[in-house]
Amino acid sequence: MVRKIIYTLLFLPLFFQAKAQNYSFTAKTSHTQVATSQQFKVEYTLNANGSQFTSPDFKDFRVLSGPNQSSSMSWVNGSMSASISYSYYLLAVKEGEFTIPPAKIKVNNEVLESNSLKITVIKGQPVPQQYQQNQPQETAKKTDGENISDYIFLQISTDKNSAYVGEPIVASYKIYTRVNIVDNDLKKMPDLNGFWSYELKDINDQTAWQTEVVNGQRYNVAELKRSLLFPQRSGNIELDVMEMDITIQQRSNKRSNSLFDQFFGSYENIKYNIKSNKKTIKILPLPEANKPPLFNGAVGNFLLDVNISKTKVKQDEAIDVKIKINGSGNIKLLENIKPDFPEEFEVYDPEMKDNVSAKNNTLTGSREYHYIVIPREAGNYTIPPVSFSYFDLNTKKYNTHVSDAFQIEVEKSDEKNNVVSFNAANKKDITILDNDIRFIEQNILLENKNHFLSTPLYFTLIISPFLLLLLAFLAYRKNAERNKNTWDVKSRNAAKLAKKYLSNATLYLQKNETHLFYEALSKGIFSYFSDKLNIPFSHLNLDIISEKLSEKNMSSTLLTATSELINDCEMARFAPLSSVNNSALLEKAKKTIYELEEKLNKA
Amino acid sequence: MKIKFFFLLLSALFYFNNLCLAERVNTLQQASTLYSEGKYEEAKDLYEKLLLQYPENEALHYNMGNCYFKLQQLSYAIYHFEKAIKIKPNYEDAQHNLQLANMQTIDKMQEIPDFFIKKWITGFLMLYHHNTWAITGIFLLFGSIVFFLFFLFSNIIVIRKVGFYSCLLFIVAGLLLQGVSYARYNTLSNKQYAIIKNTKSNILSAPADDSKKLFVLHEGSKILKVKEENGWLFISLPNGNKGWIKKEWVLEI
Repeated sequence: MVRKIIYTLLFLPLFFQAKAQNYSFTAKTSHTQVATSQQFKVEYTLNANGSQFTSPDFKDFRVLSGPNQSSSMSWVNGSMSASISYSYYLLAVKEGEFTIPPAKIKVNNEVLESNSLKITVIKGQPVPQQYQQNQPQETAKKTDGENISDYIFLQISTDKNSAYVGEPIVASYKIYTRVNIVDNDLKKMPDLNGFWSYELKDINDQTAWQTEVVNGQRYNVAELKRSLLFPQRSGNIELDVMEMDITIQQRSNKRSNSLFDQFFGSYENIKYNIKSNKKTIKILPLPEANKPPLFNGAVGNFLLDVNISKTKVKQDEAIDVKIKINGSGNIKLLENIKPDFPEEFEVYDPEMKDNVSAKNNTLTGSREYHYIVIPREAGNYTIPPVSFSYFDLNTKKYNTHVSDAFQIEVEKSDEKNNVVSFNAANKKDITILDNDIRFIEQNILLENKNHFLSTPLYFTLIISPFLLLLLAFLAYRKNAERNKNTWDVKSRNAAKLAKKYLSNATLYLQKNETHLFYEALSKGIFSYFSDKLNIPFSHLNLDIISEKLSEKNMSSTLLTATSELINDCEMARFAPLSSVNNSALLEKAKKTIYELEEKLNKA
Repeated sequence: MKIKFFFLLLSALFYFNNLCLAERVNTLQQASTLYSEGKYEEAKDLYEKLLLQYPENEALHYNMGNCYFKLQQLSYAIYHFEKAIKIKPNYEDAQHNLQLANMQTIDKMQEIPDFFIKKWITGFLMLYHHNTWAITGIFLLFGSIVFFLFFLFSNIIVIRKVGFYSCLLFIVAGLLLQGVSYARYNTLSNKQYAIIKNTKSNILSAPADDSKKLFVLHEGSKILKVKEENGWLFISLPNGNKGWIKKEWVLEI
């Protein structure tokens, strides 16, 4: 009896323990919402040892593999805990809401039912008809990275979520794992579009594993890469995902025939593709207010130092100009600083020297621009102050450093060949800096141009010259007529006048005054012809007279008589001692004039 | 008495004119200062006022064009530059600015250069204002009278001959200059070209709103006017494309 009691007491705790243990048989799914042709996992877990597992009817899904059984048992502080799980990989075939009925398992002669699972299947890719019912587990797992994400994941983190353009950001890429990694293979680094990056730690560098607790889980963490990022433009810039292929060791679920494997459990290498999170950083533009005109994107904290090797040189001697920017910030991204050298200086492209290192999450150091300039002409020149502006991240304000101006005295070179060298080949083309419209005309002559064409005044002015021409012509005609009248009178009186002169001549002949006789005679003859033929006295000569007479159709005998008379008369007048009979000449003159008078009056 | 009254009227007119002129010269200076200060809109308004008074002053058109250019109103800028060049074909500054303005137009157009003789002729016509041409011609006509008198009343045959031919020459030249004057006036008043005013204008197949769209022209393009019909223009492009456009969509040069 005592023995019985002792046994009872001995086993009582066990009994109670068995009774007290709350068996739970739960169903879990990796997804409650899946798309067609997507795989998912359904797992039934019992926290005890069970037997006779009855699988539910997966009539709405296709079973890719399963049931895969795994069990574990452990003794802790004298109490035993065991668990057994059955997992299935299922494939969603059609859309809709489905319920997976509970599975059943027998524990201690008691049948336990699991919870049922509700799965929503949405439209995804169409299901391939010839989907292998039993796809090899290896490939199935490789593509499915989801269920591993609890164990191993990649993370991109940055020290700030928003920054100014040009402000350095530290980005680190870390891998978190709870499993052993056998092998890794970097598939894709995140795109760093919009950033200029400076590597603080490269992917090829050695990494030390550390431990970190995330969501209550202890992970081994290794930093793969750390970069300083300098944003180049404003806006929301996304750091794209990082992708890695990871091979880990996992206990195999395959049933193996090998006794060894059954005892120790078999391990297999499984390859997973894991992706990091995406990270978006908000990049603020630099403030426009008080932006210096010469600002060229420097952000940080800088000092400017300008040095010049000499201020007194000879023509064609080189001068070194060193511009040094010291400080921290995006020093690597600075644009060239070029002082406004005088036109007469030949300037070569600067040599650039950087001495930069990463310190306190930014770049610190110096950049030096080394200009070599050669003055080509003598004279006194000024290199204007060099100014350098930057945006100070601490004060959020722009700062400008201005150097001194340099006076440079260039002496004429002693060498004479400089004069020779200044030829056309050395001349430079004029560089056109910019194109702009020409300036407005400032001297404008404002002339009131009234309409003149087709006005009455215009027509009057056009017509009046013609009227005047006509008038002139009429005046001429009238004048000619009047002249004609006077000539008529003269010609009528011509004979009378001639007679008067000739009678005078007769008188002089009788008085024997030869000189006066000739004068009167020639006057008589010439005045007759002048008046009768309308020839001005000054134009009178034999040619014109005979021309006029022949015009009036005088007979040739009369013509010869006239010319004889005139010739005789001239002869007698200028050669008085000739043998011309004076009285005969007088008679001849009287006779010719008489005949002429007769004929001319008839005509 | 009559002559005295005429002179009085003339001098009064002259005085009044001078008063107005002084005011306008002042406006001109004001506009120039405004332009220099970058107040293009105000300068433009002043020039516009002056242009009403002196519609054929090429320098005013040129300054107007500059204002519009600065105000980024391309079509008006081109219009005024073209106008200035039409009045003064060898206006180098206006040509330069027009070239710059044309660089900003959207439509690529190859302008066919005028036949060189035509260019010379227009260049000659535009040398002087048509009033100047006409008045010079009238002087020549009056000059011919002097030579005619020489011809009539001289007894010396050489002078008579010279007088006669010079008289004829002066009459012909004087009448020719009247022709030149009218030709210049006609060229200026004949609006042969036009500039597209709006940023985008449809060229239609018929002079009606609902007709087919043939092609689209953009601000500042220069087109040749072929004919005009109830508020519509039939236009032609250098590449031979033709179509109708509403008259209010263009600026006629």
